[in-house]
Amino acid sequence: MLAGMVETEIGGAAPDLVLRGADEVPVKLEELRGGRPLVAIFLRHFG
Amino acid sequence: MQRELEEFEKRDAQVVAVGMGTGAEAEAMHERLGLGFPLLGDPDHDAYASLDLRREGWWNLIGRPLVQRPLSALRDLADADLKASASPRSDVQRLGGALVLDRDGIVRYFHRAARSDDIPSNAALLAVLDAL
Repeated sequence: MLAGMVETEIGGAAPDLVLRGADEVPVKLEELRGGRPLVAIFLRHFG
Repeated sequence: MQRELEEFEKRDAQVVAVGMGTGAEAEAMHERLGLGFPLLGDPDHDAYASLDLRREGWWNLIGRPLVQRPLSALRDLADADLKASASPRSDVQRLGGALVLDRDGIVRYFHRAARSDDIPSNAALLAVLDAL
């Protein structure tokens, strides 16, 4: 396992991922959930 | 995803897309596509690396498709957004993935793409939500 890599496995806690929103504001993936199920899609690129 | 967003909303799910770019690039694409869900950036690919989303080799990315299915591979190359792929923040070898969390923030589904066309269907993601 490389440094910075998180164990993401079924049944485990959500990974602590910080992304960037408008104006480069840090946004935690967990904060977007808001008590709802969350589906996150990681794209290959913007295009 | 956008076409079936209503199905995800019926299941009370929050949909989020992430791309390899800045927040500003994500916002611009969000507006251009008129998406009904957030699109966020990961400019340094920290999230992709943290999730260990795979990087495809050049042979599998370009060589093998050209040999195995030349016409559709050439069509894919012609349709590729080269400007987006040429962005210094883009990594054309990095593959995507998908993650589903339940209401308690527990991982219920995690998919690391094994190939560039290995994308979970909306039906598969909706089935995960239905099983929560």
